[in-house]
Parts: sequence; C-alpha cells; structure tokens
Amino acid sequence: MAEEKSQASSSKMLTLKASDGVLFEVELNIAKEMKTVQAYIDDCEDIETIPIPNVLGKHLAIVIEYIKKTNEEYDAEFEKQWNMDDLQLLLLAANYLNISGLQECLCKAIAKRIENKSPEYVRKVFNIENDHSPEEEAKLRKEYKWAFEGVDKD
Amino acid sequence: MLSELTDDIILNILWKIEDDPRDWARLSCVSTKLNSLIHDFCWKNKTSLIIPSQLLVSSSQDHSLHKLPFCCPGLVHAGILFNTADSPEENQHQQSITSSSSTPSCSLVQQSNECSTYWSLYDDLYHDTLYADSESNHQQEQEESKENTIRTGVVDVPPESKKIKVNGSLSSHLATGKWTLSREQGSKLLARQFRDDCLYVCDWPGCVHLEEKRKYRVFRGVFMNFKKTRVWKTVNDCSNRRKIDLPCAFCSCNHTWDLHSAFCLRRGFGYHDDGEPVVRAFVCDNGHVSGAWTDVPMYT
Repeated sequence: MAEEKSQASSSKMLTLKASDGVLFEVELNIAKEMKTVQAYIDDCEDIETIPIPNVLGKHLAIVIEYIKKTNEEYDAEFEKQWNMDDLQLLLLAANYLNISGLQECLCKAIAKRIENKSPEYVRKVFNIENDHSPEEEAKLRKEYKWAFEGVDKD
Repeated sequence: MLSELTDDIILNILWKIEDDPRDWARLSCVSTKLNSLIHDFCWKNKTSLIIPSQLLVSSSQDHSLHKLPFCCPGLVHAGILFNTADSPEENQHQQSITSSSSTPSCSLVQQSNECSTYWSLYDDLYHDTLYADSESNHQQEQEESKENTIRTGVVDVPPESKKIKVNGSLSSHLATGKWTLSREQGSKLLARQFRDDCLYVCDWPGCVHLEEKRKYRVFRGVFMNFKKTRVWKTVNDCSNRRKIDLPCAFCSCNHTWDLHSAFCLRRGFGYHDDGEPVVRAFVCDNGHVSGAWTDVPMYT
C-alpha cells in the first residue's frame, strides 16, 4: 500500500482547503482515499483546490497523515494520542470525507474508551445531557441492575 | 457532541462493544437517544441471533427478551435461598433477615391480604446490604396464612455468616455459559403432560454456581404464549398456596409460581438428604422462568 502511493502516477498534486482556510498540498492518490474528494474530482476534471468546509486544518492534517501511514501497527498507536473531543471531530471528518478505514479505526477507539464505564462517565465524555425523566431512569436502572457490577470507577 | 454524530456512526460504535451485554445495558441509561438506538437495533439484532424466531415473533412486545438470554437470575430469584414455612425441618433453620433500614423488631412477614403492608423479598433486593441476625430466630410460619393468597417466606442466609451482601452472584448478574435458548432444554424440565407447552430455557449447563453445600446450575427461560399453556392452567387452577413472594428477575412481577410443588416438573428427580429438591423452577405471570438443577444424589 505504501509503495503504491509513491509511484509516478501520484506526481499530480492537489490542494485541499480546510474550513479555517489552511491549505494542504497532497498527492492525487492520497486525496483519492477520501471518497468525497474523489467524487469531487470526478465531477470537476481540472480542479486544483478543493474546499473541505466541514473540517478544521488541525484535523485535516491528522487525516492526511493517517492515510499516508496507515497500517496495523500505526492504527493501533494512532488513537492513543487524541482526547475524546478530537476523536469525535476526527470521526466526523472521516465520515464526511468518506474514509472507511479511518472511520473504523476511530469507532473502535471510541468504543474502547467507553466500555465498562458508568453512564455518568459516558455522559461527561460525550457531553450528553441526561434527558431521561427520573422515573424512566429509575426504571432502566432497576431493569439493568445486573449490569452495574464491576464497572470501572469514574 | 453526540448530537453531531449520525445514528449510523453511533451504531457503528455500539456494535464494537457488543461482546459484553452489560455495556449496552449501562449505555441505555445514558440518554433517550442511546436507549432507543440500543433497544431498536442492538438488542433486536443480537437477540435475533440467539433466540428462536418463533419465540421472538410471539413475544415482540416483551422487552424482557433483551435481558433474559444474558442475565442469570442468581441464587435469590432461582429460589435457592428461599425457604417457605411449609416443611417442618426447614422451620428450625430459618433466620430472620432484617433490612438495614427497617425496624429490627418488626415481624418480617405480616399477615395481610394487601400487598402494600407486608415485607417482601422484592423490597430487600434493592437495598445494598442485608444483614442476617443469627441471634434471633423468628417463627415465620403464619397459621392463618391459609387465608392468604401469597405464600410468604424468607431469604435463608447461611447461618455461618452474620452479615452477607446480597449482590453479585446471589442476585441477578451476567450469566456465564451459553446465552442461547432452546426448547429442547425446556422440554427436559416439564412433566410429560405439558409436552405441548413451549418452554425455552438457556442451553446446558446454565450459569454454574459452586456453593458450599452443592453445585447449582442456575437456568432461566420463558414460555411461549404462557397464558395459553397447560402449565398456566395448572398453576392457576390449583390452590393459590403455590404462589410465593419471590419476585421475577425479568419483569416487575412480585410473585411467582412454584412449578415443583404444582407438579409441573418432570417426576423422579427427588430430593437431597437435607430436603432440597434436585431441581426447582419458578414462573411468573408473564411466563419467565428461573430455577436451578443440582446433581442427582448418589445413594450407596
């Protein structure tokens, strides 16, 4: 995979413009890993600068780096560097750009961080408001009492 | 932040933690959105892989099917710790259990036909700790209980422990063993005249509990269309003495029927020397079954 990326056909360069105006010059075959960008190129043949309105420069940089380096080892270490906010924003970026490998990697990472955790912890990391009524929540807690043993401390 | 993630992304994350059903159970408590996604997609999909389709179809409104394959009722709901006042030898070993928040001197079981005025195991299960007072031996049998519709009893905590926490393996917990249900297992339990009733029970050996006295293979199951079964007719027709205040582990029923004393279980399993039945099972009005097998005693 890494070798394919450095072949002669990849010499054409493309510019991606993040939502905050940051510009990234990338090889065509890197850009094509983003299916959304691929579709853009297919529609407009001579385009040189492609706007990526939903993704900040900071995250686009990470995404591009990921595409260049992805392999099993890299993926395993990749998610450890980011906090939960960044993971979610990266996931939104990967979803928008339609990069399935990165989406999978990030979903796994987020899942790993919420397994065996209390509802309070999950609400905090996802910044979710508890919109259960007190009665509903009490009912669920009672029904799922068996699931609360051995949960990680918050 | 979660609101920005689309449902399919959230489901993708949820599917990555499907191995331990407790995660989905806890996440259902987080918010209404997670609860409905988990209920409508996760549980539904997972149970369709382990519950026979005819049972799923007939029980589409029964949310307890999301819990039943994975949740062992524990020694409490399988009736192992439950002693009724019926057999004389058990009376001698009965101990009173007082909830930490109730007045110790109160009689635990008050004769009443109104559910709200008597203590039931149901109340105590939701306290964190039950204390066994090994010093006092209250007589639990109520002579007048023949008038009652519910057979009363106590949780019999082993005499050697003065204090025991009723949680963990004693009450409901994640089941070990297989999570699949089969009719074959259910048919091994029922007496011959009930062979047309469809009882689905978790596959052998259930959730194995190694206790001091013996090994219990705690099982759980459910009848298909319970109100149309012969078992239902039998327990319903018989004297109400067979209904006991042992709550169901899978729904809000506070009382269950003792299938052993209603002669619904296969004959011939017998009893151990200490009077404990080799197999016992309890069913609630919704057809959820909790029980336990023990090893057949070897007589020399």
